[in-house]
Amino acid sequence: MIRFENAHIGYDHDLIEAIDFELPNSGIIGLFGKNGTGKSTLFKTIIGLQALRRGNIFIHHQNISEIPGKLLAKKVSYCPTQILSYGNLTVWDVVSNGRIPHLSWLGKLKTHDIELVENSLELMGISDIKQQLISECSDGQKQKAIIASALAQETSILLLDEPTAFLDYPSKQELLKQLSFISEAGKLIIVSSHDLDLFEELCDLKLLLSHHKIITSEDTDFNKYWDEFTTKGLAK
Amino acid sequence: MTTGKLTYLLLGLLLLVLFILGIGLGSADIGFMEAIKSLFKSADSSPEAYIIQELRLPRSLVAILAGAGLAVSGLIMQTLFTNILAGPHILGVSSGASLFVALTILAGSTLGDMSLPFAAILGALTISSLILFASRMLSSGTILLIIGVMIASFCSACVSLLEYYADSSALRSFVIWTMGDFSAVGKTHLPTLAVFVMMSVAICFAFSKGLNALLMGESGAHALGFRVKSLRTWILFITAVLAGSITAYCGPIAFVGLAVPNLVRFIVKTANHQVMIPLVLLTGACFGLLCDIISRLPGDDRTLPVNVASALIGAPVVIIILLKYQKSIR
Repeated sequence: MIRFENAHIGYDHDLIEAIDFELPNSGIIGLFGKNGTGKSTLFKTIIGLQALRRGNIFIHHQNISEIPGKLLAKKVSYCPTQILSYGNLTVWDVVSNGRIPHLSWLGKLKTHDIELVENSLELMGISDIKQQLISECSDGQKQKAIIASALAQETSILLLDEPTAFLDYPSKQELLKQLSFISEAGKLIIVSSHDLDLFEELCDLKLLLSHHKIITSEDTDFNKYWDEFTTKGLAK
Repeated sequence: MTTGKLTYLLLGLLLLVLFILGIGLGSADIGFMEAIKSLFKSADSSPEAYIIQELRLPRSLVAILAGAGLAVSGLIMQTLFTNILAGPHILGVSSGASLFVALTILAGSTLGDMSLPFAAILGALTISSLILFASRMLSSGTILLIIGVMIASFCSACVSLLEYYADSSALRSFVIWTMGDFSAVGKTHLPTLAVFVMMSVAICFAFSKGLNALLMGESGAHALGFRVKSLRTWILFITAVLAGSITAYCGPIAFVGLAVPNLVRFIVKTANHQVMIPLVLLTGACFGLLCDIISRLPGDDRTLPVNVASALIGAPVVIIILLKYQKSIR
């Protein structure tokens, strides 16, 4: 569960002002908005990479500013849009790195960790390419590896930053199925995307970033802002 | 797992063979069997035992330490900059160490003074911080490498300037040092070098979780629970200690840090530092010994500078890497 309390988000000025709402324990939350409205910044603030300008964010009733990084990494996982192809980095390496917060200081994977990595690979349908180099993967395969890594991290909250950005249409459909499967397991998924048509049906709740505010689909004036956002041809 | 164990076994065997070759070869004709036997005798018992224990053994051990240490520092720098072409030499870190050593030697210190490793570490640290700072503003790895090469040239120019005004004896000892030499360390300074290298490598290994996390990008590493800035600073400090202390004792040795981790990438297909660090360590030790053996090939009292040997093996390796990894080099 995530609760925002008068949270102001941004770098040197507020990108999003006075966020005040609570997100449920599970389900899929869609995060929409034009480029530069602060979608990625919101994610970075939740994982503690970017400081809040004002206000508080609570995860499971704990203020994020008081949660040590190692502990936060067991509660929230974050999938960046892309990953670097570096040297001999393999799909297995990326996914098993998701286990890092749970490992002892020497960082050796135990049988249980290996099982979880295998399961995550299986769930994302990339078991057959686990030994493949990231540099030899398609953008879609890389994306799946990043999400599998977040799954291996075993957190109750997953933040996905534009996971469909580099996927072809069938892969997008497939990812959607996988996301609803994951959320049914009791996880909260917050996903940012420009693929409105895909996510509109899937999301349990929609968040729209507009006019430096977050408008949720439960707000009365949501439709007004949503129509403004979609009809201006800014979406897609 | 079996292939992993086999790799360690083969590398271990190679290291042993090179070590025996290393102590058996030299201007004095001592057979390999005699050389091995002399390892276990007292140094005073025979001239052969003296040569082995006082000269060849320390030199081989220095070659092992320097090769292993530089290779590990190369691997860590490559991770830090997520660029497989990074390394202490190409990024100008060794040149920074050289410049500070030149200042100290030309100011009157002699090789072996404790001021040298500290000057070298400081020099290495200065340049690597500069490079790290530059890397934060750049998205292109190629530009970063060119900046490294420019910094190296700048430091070399400063060194030349110092040489120009130096008196002849200081100049001579400095010029010999720049060519790279495993024998100058000797038995007296070997323990200090060993402490620097072994401690830093152990710390690098202890950081392998953080190093693995860095491969996920800045936000990725943060989401795994690391404070990326302080992690980077610590890692940078350790690589500077590694590259700096070795440069102080053996001279600026090129190619080891760049070539060895990439040689290992031909053997194993992973970027996991728990696997990479031990393998890079072993391969680096072999590389160091091989350079030492090549540098003694003339067979008489003359030896080639280590840098000649390391470039002879290292340069072709680097060209092969460039061809193989062109896709993943930005």
